[in-house]
Amino acid sequence: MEAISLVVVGHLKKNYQPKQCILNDVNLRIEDAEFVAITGKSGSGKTTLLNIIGGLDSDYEGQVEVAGKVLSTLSDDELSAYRNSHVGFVFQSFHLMPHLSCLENVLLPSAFNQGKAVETAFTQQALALLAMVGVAEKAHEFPNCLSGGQQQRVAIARALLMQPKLLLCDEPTGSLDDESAGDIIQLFAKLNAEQGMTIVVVTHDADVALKATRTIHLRQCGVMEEGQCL
Amino acid sequence: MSIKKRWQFILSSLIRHRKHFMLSSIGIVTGIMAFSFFWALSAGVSQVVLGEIFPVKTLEVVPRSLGVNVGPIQLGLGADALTQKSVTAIQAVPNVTKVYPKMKVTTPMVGVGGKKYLGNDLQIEILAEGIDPGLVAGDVDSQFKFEATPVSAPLQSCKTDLQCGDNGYCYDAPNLSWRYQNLNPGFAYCRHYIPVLASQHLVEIFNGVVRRAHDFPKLNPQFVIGYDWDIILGSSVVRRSEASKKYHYKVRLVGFSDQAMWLGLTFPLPVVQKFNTLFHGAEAAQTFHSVTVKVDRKDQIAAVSQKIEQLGFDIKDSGAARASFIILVTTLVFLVISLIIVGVAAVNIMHVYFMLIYERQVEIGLMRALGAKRSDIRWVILGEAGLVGIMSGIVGVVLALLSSQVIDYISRYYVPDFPYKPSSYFVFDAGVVVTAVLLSVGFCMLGAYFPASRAAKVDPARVLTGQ
Ligand SMILES: Nc1ncnc2c1ncn2[C@@H]1O[C@H](COP(=O)(O)OP(=O)(O)OP(=O)(O)O)[C@@H](O)[C@H]1O
Ligand SMILES: [Mg+2]
Repeated sequence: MEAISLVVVGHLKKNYQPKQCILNDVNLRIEDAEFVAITGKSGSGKTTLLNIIGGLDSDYEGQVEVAGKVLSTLSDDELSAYRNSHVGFVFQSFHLMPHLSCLENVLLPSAFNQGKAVETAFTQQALALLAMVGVAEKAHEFPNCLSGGQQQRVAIARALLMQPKLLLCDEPTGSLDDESAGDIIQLFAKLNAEQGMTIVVVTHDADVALKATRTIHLRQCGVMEEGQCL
Repeated sequence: MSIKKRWQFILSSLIRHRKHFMLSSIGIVTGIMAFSFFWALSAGVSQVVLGEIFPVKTLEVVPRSLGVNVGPIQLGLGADALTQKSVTAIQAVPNVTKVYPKMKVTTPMVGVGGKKYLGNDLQIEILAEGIDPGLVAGDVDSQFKFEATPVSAPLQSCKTDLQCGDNGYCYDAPNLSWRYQNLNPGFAYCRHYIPVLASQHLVEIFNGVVRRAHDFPKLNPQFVIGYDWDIILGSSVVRRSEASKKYHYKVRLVGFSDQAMWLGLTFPLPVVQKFNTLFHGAEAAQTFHSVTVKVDRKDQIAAVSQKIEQLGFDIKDSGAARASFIILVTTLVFLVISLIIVGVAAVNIMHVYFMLIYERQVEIGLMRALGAKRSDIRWVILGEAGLVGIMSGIVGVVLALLSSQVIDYISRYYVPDFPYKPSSYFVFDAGVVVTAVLLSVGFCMLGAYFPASRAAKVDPARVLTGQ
């Protein structure tokens, strides 16, 4: 028997309005330590798919299983815990809280942690992550003082704080200039190569798709094409 | 999410959105201010009205008589007095702690005195009654006794008051300036002052009304305790009522009491029994005119009244019931108005919260995406409202307190004296403060309830990644 994949999506159907066709019978597996790029035209349902895998959206038909958990069987509180500790989100517009310092932003997920981990341990972890993504010296500054690329690095550190199995990124380079975008992609590649982090990136950016180990192309109405593997 | 973390979120958000919260709490502060102001005012007014004007710790039982009007005269049908038997029957009613019979002086009496304080002797007809000393034990000034002290034989002869000790005077009949029947003419001997109690009403009426008509100085009630004057029993300003015998005594004011007669003097019961016996024979010593009934607890008063009425007696309406009813109704009206203000304020808070939550939906969505539970979000929003409520409540009470001070100040210095003018019209006790703050917290949280539910339902997918 084949080892179970980290993410298994089976016969996923989703539409926002009746008769609409956004995701229709999507089947997908993502293995541990894969770096997957999801591409597709605007409106093809990339974000929708990512939100469903991340447990942000639980209104769909079909089966989504992540790390052995069937998401549709989880209660709302269990989904919250799942989002807190199993997945990390990186958004196009960073979503850092402007009133918190970078360090506090990185620490934010620990506030919702239901385990009994010590606060100081989180702080050390957060500082280490900020150093790893290359903005250690900005820890006590506020996000407004950082460039877009630096803000996205802080957001990535935040997504990694709870040591998730899966990093879900929705157009992480969409708001960045080419140079910063390149750095961020480099960071993802490094995370994937050195730490075996499973990364799913929704992107329009061909460079990202090139760095990925696999590309999935979403077509309108859920028809999927596998891209070439590198 | 731990309680500590929740409070950190609440505090940081309160500080960040302080302007919104301040604006949204104006209404609730106003309502709470009105609420505690009127409550304290009502408590203060009740204290004066029920504590001083109509004290209601006791019941006053009087004989039942049907008044039949015959021209200008009302003829009484039925008993006009209470016998020792009636007193015993009333004592037997359940929950009655003790009964204290009272007896009116049934002979006219004139009082003469006041020169020392008023510059001139006043001569006025005095109404009086006798009261069981046990009923007023607490009201008697500590240096005096309220009891009948008969003259002991043999009589101690004297020339001056000083020879007769602190509580006595030298009774020197022939040198007194008015005519009266003397029991021992030509012989001066020591006698005790007869202790009397007066009602605070008397001082209020004197200071408020009488002194203005006669241009007398205002009396300090504490200072006139110990003052003595003469009474002539059997004498009257109504010539026809003058008795054939007259007796002279000196009385001394030993205190003020709620139980004392409003417009008259109150003697120890045995003194009045003796007075009445002097004019009407031995039977008069057992003829009472009312009975004061002490009840275990205030809430038993109604039941005890009913029992006593069934026995065939009447309960004298002290006016307290009506007064407290009027105060209650007025207070309720104002409290309802305050509650309406608070209620409208809660609606206002709801609007502000809906707006705030709309503004903060990305923040809320992010918290949800990072693992906050719905209950965490609801808790934080309600916690903010609760804190705003506590602060608004305290500010409201403080403002009410300040305005009460202003009113008391104005009353003290700019409003002329009137009977029972209190030094403060307000009583702020722990009850007002606690109720006001709880009310404020309650309405703030009520106002925040629906917004909190909406916040808990914010869809993170829509606000974080939606277009
Ligand atoms: N909350 C929503 N309610 C209704 N329709 C929605 C909602 N979110 C997305 N849609 C619709 O669903 C379709 C897929 O949206 P989705 O955001 O997943 O596309 P996408 O592939 O991420 O597009 P883009 O590349 O522009 O980000 C679109 O047609 C969009 O209009
Ligand atoms: Mg999208």
